[in-house]
Amino acid sequence: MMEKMTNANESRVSAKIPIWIQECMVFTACFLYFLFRVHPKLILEIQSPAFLMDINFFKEFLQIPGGLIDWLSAFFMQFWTSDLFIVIFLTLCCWFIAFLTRKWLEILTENRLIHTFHLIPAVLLAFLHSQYDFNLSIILAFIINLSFLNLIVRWTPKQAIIQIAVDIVALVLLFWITGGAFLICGVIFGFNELIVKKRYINGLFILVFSSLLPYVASSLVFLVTLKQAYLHNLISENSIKFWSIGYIILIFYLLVPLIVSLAKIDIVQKSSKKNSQFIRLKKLNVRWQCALGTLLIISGAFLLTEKTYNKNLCLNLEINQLTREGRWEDVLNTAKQCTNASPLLSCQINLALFQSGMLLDRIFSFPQLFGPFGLLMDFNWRSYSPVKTSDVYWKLGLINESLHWAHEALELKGPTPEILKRLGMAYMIKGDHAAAKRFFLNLKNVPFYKKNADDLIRLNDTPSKLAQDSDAKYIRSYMLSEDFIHLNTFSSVGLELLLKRNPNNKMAFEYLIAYYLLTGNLNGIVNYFPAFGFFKYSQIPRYVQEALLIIASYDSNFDQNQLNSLVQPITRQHFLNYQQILNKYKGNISGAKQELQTQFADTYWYYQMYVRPEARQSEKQNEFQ
Amino acid sequence: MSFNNYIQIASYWIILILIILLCVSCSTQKRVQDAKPVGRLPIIQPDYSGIVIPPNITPLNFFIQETGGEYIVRIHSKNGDPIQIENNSGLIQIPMKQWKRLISENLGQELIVDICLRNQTGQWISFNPIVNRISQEPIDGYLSFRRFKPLFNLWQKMGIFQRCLENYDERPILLNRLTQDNCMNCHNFWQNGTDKWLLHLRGGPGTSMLLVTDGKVRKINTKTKFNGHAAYPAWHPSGELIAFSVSKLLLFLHEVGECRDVLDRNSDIFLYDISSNTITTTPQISNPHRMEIWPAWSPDGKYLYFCSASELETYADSSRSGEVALDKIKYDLMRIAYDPLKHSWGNLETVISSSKIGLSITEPRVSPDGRFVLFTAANNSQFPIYIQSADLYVLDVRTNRWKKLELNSDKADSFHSWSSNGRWIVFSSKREDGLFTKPYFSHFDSSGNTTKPFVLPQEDPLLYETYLDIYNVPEFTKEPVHISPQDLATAAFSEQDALSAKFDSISVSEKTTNKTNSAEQIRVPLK
Repeated sequence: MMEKMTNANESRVSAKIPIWIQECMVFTACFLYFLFRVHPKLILEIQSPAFLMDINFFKEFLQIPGGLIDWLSAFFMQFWTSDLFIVIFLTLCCWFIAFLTRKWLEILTENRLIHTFHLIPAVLLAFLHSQYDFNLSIILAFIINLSFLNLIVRWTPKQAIIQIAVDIVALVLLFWITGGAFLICGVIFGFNELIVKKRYINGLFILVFSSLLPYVASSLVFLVTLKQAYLHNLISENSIKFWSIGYIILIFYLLVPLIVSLAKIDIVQKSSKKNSQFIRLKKLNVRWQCALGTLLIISGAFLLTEKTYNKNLCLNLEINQLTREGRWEDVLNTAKQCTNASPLLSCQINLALFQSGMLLDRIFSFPQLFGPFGLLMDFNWRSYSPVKTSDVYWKLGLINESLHWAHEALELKGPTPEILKRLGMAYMIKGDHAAAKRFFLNLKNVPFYKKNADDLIRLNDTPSKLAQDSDAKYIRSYMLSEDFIHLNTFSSVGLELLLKRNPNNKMAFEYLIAYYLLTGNLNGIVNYFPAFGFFKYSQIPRYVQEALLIIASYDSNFDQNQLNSLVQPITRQHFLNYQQILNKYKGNISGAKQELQTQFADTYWYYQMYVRPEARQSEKQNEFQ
Repeated sequence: MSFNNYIQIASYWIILILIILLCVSCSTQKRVQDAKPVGRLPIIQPDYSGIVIPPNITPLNFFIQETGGEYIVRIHSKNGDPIQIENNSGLIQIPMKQWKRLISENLGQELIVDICLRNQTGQWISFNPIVNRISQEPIDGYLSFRRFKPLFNLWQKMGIFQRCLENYDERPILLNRLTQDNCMNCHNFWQNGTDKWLLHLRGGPGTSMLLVTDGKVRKINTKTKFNGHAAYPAWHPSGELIAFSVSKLLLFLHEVGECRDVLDRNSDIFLYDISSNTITTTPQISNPHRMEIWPAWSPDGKYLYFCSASELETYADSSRSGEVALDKIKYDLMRIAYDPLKHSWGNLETVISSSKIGLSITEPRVSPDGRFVLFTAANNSQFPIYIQSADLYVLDVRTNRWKKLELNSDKADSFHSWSSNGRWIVFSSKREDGLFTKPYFSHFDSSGNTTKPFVLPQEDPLLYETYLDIYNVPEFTKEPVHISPQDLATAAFSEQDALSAKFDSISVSEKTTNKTNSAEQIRVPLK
């Protein structure tokens, strides 16, 4: 008998080898998908959860069901410093889900060999990361629920009362730890008891208890809405792009016990025997079944990802990342591949152009569809990306405005290290050392930032040393000393004051000229013309030359000699060609557009006539000029 | 081994432990006695030195901000056993029971805190004793406040909380995650009780006043075709009327100094009659050529105090192309007589004019005995929390003299509340860092003098070092709020029990009704 058992074990192990190979192949594909297609570090551009090693921070998470998982998820994401690490982490998570699903299916099917089928949820979960809006907490909640499910289905005490007590404790614990995601375990387990094991009372009890627990908890214990109680960490709480895929995963787990129980019915068994003879699937051995299954899974996943791949989203997030890292050339190279447009994208491109010393020479070689809001965004876009907004204002020297948006970011994104650092530094530069210290002390509680925070605290505590710090001196020399008040709008006033404060502020100067170009305020450019000499430009930037030509074309008194000295002959010729085409269409701007676009799309003249937001508005109104 | 042997061994152990403890305490005693005095007060955080303490306050835990390897703290008074705490961290968390006993046995006495520490050279040093006084007058048991991060235009998380001042228990009254993340404010309690109270919700379908009376919460829409939603409220002592202001506030930004500022473009005061669900007013408190705000009733209900400034056009500066000179907007303190039986209004008086005091007066609150009016005054504006010059002043109604209180700091000190016995005040102060507002308490005696303020005590005395929330609109209550947050949230979205206030148009003039629309045309120097 022992020999029989040993032989049975050995044959089972050898039968599992194709399954292991299958899993290996699928998760290698998963790994490669994450690494080369998803670039999961871009997830941090959309979700960058705040995390502090602080007991008060931790206690806040305990106040909502599922908060523990949120905390854990935020903790893990602090280690997401490289693509490779994140890829390994996510692949392991997906593999673990597949493993737990297989173990559960083996119990359901009374120890049958499971292959292919158990990989579906894991592969779909991997796919959901393609839009970067899928929370890690959902995956972790899934894993914990599946783990609990596996534990409680394996243990069946003889006494029903003990079983029920254990079920209650497990479900309450799961709810507290994972939030609404506990319904995965509760409902599946209830179905399992009801349909598969035919323990009707137990099954019904679990289903009813699971469905009522969030309601009771939100009414009596936790201060959360009903929606949050039921849906937190479940796939559909916050809208994600492919929410339907999320539901498919849940339906998979609900349908499986149903299918298994149906398969046990005599009539179904007989008809499946007939069908399997017809399909001859059963004649294939496990190896071939696994191979076929692997092919189906990988090709299905491949098709799904190809159809849903959002290249622009990826590129936009990459640009966010590159901007944050100060890799300006890469920003511009990546931006060329984008086919979408947004004020945030324009803002980052323009910042990169400035940092690369090319703003006034190349600004219109990128679409400037948003006019001046492509330099500094409008309120809604600033609210969408408060950290980026704060960065731009910081670089300009509008410290209060940078502080304003850092505070908005603190409210919207939480105490992330970059926000804490920005707030601390802004208050420190302004001389509000007590306020600065509070932010630096919080920064000390962020993993890996202790040393940085200690250095900043030391600097903050010694104003004399701060006064000698080169970065502080630089910023203080640029920041405004003359107040101006405003209402969240972007105008030239701040930039003009910055230049008045410190004529060396080249960013303020170039942004001001760009602002005038984008708004068509050509007189403004004329007023600041001497500054080009001050900043020692080797030649007048291209688009300023083009603007001068427009000015000269309207002003017959414009000194032609001066114009000739400022504008390149090639630019003048280019302008003449532009005018010739316009003349050809006898001033019909709409008619001339197509021909002008082919040769002059990257000129200031074309921008003024067709791209500027006001021009596009009048074009829509069909004005004839 | 027999039972007797066990008893013998146990008793030997007990004696040994006692001897050790005795040696330790003797050693501690010797260390304290031999400590070298440094001749100054220790630096502790928060600063709980030289203050007057309510007899029912929770322990004032603190952190010793002096470098040392070991710390010994001894808290004692005239009667009762002293409290002794020793540790290596300097974090002093006073046991609740011992504190309560010591305080209760020493009402009216001094409370002395002796601190010794072992410094880096191994020597024990002692500081000058911290001397506080225990008042005989209790403070109200609870403090309600709104809590959120320093906000500009956007918000996500906020809530109204109640904190027991006799322990560290803090619970939410309402959280905005229950009400679709809207804004909530203006929690206000009738005579420091929680039988009748209200709060306002702003934004989304829950926008309303939640009014709690007789244990029930009702949703009241205070907006009528004549007035916008109610803002700053004030309960009439009868508990049947609520005065509130309606404003058009605009947040704007500075590029130097404090970022935020608020402009009141237009405001009036109205009365809400709870029993008839009616809103009324009178031209004297809703003058089309004035901005009226910050109502406050006298305790006999016969006077309504409020703040008033000329309409915005008055401040147009011709030298600035007609733009409003924001720094010139100053509010007077006014009062108007009211007959609560006849519901009629009397004469309007200027109590303190802004030109006389040279400042803008806001947030008047009358003491429970009616003798004093506590108010905030700043260089300009009606939103003093953003003005660093904001300080607390008190007016003696009997003599009509006012003075600046001693408890002020060089940062914004503003929104305040009286305890029900009129002997304690709480106010919002940014004195620590100019950014994070915290509630401070001070004793107020019958002569109008205040004592050194102290901050709301916390179980962890280092909490404020890293805490990123501010405490806003602190209000004393004698007991906790009894309505659950879930019931409040349910009421906020209940249309079934919602009431829309009716406007008594007889009391309204055309000019008043048109005023709410004219503010849009005001030119302000906002770029």
